Amino acid sequence: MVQSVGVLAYIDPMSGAIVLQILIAGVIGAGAFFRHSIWAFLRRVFRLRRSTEDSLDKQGKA
Amino acid sequence: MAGSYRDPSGYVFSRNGHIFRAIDANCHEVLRGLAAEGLLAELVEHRQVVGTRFVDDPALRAALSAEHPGREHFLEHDVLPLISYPYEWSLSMLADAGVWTIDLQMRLLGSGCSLKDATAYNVQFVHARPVFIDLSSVERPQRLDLWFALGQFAQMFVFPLLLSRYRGWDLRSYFLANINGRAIEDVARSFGRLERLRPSLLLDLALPLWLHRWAEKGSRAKREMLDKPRRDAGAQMLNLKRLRRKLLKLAAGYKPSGVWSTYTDICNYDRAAEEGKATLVREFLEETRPPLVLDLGCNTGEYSRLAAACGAEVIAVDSDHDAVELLYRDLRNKHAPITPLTLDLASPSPGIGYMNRERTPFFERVRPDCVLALALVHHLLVSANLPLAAIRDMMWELTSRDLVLEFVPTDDTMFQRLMKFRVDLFGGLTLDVCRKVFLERYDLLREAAIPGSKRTLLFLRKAARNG
Repeated sequence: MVQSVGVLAYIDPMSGAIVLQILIAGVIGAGAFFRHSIWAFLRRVFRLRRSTEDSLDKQGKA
Repeated sequence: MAGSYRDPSGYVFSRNGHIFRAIDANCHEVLRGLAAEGLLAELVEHRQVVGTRFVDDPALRAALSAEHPGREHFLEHDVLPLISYPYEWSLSMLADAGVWTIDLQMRLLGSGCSLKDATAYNVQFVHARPVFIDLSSVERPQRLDLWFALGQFAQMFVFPLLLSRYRGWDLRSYFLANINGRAIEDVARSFGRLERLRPSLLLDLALPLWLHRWAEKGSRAKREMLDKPRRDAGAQMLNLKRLRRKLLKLAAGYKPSGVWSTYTDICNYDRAAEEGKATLVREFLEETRPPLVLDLGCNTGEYSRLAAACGAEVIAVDSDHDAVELLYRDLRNKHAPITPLTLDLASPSPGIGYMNRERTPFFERVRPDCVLALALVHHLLVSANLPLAAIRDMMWELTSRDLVLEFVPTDDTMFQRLMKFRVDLFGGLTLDVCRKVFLERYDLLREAAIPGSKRTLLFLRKAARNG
């Protein structure tokens, strides 16, 4: 098993690119972490909309 | 080799016609690991990476160690037929080289490895297919969720493509002037503040630029953050896939036009004359069988394909970028042993980099056995203002043996077109004068008038005398 060494950074990095990747990784990571909450929120929104449509339908038919 | 000094973990050298790479113990371990997984063999077999073997023969290893003190591990690489540089490529070639690098990076991530650098000089073209050559660039970093070399990738691949597509830059101007690629601040200046916010530029230009400025102020970005172990490469894979799509889209969206791409439409040949010329050239090539042919002013690549069909490796060169781009796209579909390159014969690629020797001039990198100068000499005479003797001497330097020269008389329609607003300096240029000038340094093997036209083919062989 090869040991991971510190990256042999001899080229000049763009600190902007590094920071951007850290941010993107953070956003994606946070998205995954809160995925359940986001999905629950969306489900609530859709259920609300669906019940509104149902009631309108009933009114239309009635 | 002069260009191989930046990476402390390895360098390339040549010995008795073989190409070797000296690598350090770390790099050696990483590559052994990849070889054990079978990944290295797979990459070589699919021509994604240049043919590579470990130097295991103890006698050879000892000899190399003696010549290169401090180095114990060596690789041997296949010798490539031609070395070319990004300033000689067309747009799609650069995009494909970038895509190749990304593909390799994605494969390596699957094995827990990564590329240390992402320079365009790590890729070479073998027959219009990109091949990765810098094996010592492979490492095992702590963090797999970000790519340290992404900034360099942007400078080498993304910025030149963006500038070419949206600002009309050409690759030669970009790479000859910026050997490491152009800095993000300078690239951003080519775009207005509002324009930088457009979706195609936001993620690769505007955002990195702002973060770069923020990070540089008071050194907020710390070296230690690179050593935090993060084994999940998911975020990086997503970004790489996005970049890959973007590069392909940038290149595919380019619509080549250019004067010479329609050359064959306006050329004054009829089919019979064209076929006659092709027959004459084919007969000569089949008889002499040159291993390496250089087709100057290749245009659509018709004669390059002819030479390839006669068993030669071909380097197809044209000063018109769009002609090279079209030929490259065509070669992607109909493969042939041809490498297309953009080159201005009157001002070929110079030596650049350290002591101007790091990347050698074009004339030092090619030594073809036969040079095809078809439908070319009048362009050099009129547009480049080169005297006939100068053209003769340049061809003499280029070729190692033969030269096929098409003589174009001054009353030819193309010649007249080139001379439209110029003083007529070519009144005395006849076939006899041309023959006399060239015979000062060449032997005439054969002379053939092209049936159905006023042009003549001269088949010449380099002679030892110096006129």
